Amino acid sequence: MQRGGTPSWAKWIGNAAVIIIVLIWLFPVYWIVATSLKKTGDIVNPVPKFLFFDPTLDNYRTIFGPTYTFADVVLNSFIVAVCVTALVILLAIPAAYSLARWQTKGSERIAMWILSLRMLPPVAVVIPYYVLATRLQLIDTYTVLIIVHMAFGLPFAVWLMRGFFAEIPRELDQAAMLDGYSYLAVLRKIIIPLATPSIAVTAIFTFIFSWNEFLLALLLTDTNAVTVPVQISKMILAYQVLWGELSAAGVIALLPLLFVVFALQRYIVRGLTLGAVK
Amino acid sequence: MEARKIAVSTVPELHADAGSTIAPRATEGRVQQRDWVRWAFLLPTVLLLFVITIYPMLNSLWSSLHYYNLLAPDDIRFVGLGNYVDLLRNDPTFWAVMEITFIYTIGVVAIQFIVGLGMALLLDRSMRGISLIRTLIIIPILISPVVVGLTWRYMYEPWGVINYVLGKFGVAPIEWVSSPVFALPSIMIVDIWQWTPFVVLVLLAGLQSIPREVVEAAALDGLKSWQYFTRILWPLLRPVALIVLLIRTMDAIKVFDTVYVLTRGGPGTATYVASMYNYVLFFGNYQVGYAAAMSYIILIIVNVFAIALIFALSERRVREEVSAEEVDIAQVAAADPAPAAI
Repeated sequence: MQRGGTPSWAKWIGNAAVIIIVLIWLFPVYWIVATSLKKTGDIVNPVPKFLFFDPTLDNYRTIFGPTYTFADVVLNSFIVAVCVTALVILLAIPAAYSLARWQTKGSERIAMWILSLRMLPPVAVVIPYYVLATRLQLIDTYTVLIIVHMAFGLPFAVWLMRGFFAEIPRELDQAAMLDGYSYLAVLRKIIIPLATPSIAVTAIFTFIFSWNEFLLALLLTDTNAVTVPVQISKMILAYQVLWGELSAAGVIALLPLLFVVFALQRYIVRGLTLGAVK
Repeated sequence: MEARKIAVSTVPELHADAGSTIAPRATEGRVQQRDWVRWAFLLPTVLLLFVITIYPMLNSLWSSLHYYNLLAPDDIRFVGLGNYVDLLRNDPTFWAVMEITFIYTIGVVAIQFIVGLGMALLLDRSMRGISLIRTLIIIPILISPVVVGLTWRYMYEPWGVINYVLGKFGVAPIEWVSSPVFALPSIMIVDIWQWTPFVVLVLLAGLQSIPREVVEAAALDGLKSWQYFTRILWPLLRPVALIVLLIRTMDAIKVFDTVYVLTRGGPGTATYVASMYNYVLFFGNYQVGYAAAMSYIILIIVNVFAIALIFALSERRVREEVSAEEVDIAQVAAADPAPAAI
């Protein structure tokens, strides 16, 4: 909100400051994208080429080539994230509806318990996961990753959707029930269609969480089920001079996020604060 | 006309009829269906979460009370609180790790908050393209911390772009991640870069929920900028600020990914944060019991802030409900002409 009486020169300085700060802030993102498109000679040049360089896709060709087989890794990440998202949404919709519509003391406690799980530090559970997964011979499989990612994605989705569902007027449910709808029918024919955008937002958040998650994926995979962040961390340690290839891998990892950022803009604060700030 | 009158008059009768005979049984049935459905909807999620979170936590608690090393899997002994005592009393690394985590958390959260507040106040303006700018600053938050770490590690290279730019201002090249002095500030800068936008977004949402009348009234009163901030903005922002501070504190205590990618806790122990130590205890030394005790200490510390956050969140919900009621009362009062007549 602009306060009255601000002189116009002050306004201009403010506007200029906003633009400069945002440009500086986003520079690292630009820099990794630019580096991924540069030739090795330009990358190690002690005088960095900020804008004018010969663009090339060589780095992308290399990481998707036979040495790094990055396509497999992207596929792993994608499969895990899609399964996690689908299962989380499937389970979270009825749970969130239940918690949004019947707000008794008991369900309030369950809701708070679910919220507290969202804050669980991964290190607190990763050791038993590892021990158990080894015993069940699930290490380095999609299954174990999907299960552990659900442990963190599900509380988040339930909590977020509960807030969204609570905003749908109860009168709609009641009217439908007078028409003889069962609860399941109300959920399918009224709540889900009305809440489609918020379900989509929750799904996107869950997908991004799983796509980005590192610690659990690092510890529970080895070679077959390695995800993008894990592969990148391995590449950094093994070939740390190959900045072109590394940057290309990084850009692949952030590509889906750049697509969704505009779709999410309206909801992101709400998602990240667990619904506390709308 | 006649037909409409009849229609109007029959409807209440129908309702009255339904109310007297059919409705009680119908509601009873609905109440029964209600409870049954309510738990059926909730059960799969609660059950699954119970199995995949409570079981590991109990398992971890059990491990933390035992001497348990993966290299000697047959020699598992109950030691009570021995692992905890060892950590707190006999392990100098533990306290070093806690100190580094403490410095990291306080530094990162404080700077994020101050810079974030400044940026939020700056971005709270009407200007062309402001919504695009607000969207663009979200990007760092969404990037995987591993990719963030990778990007900064490249920029932190001794011959990298940061030293190049600093060189233009006459600063000698700095060994960012490999010097004991600069390693911790290096990983802190990365965290500040990634998460300040989050603080900005939340505070901005808080600023924009302040009613226009309040702002206009303040302008009419001729408050100076500082007074305007301390008397009007800050009291209204405080609840949102508390929530964002708690969330950031919890996340900062848990930091692992960027440290793993940028420094792996080094050089020496310069960036040895709590989660990193926990990782090394387990995957480096295979000390399952000892590592589990360490993870429980982290869990307890994080939980202090988590509980505070849950209180802050539920208090906010209660307050929202109360203020909604107040609005209702105000609307009723406004709609009712009688008080105005008096």
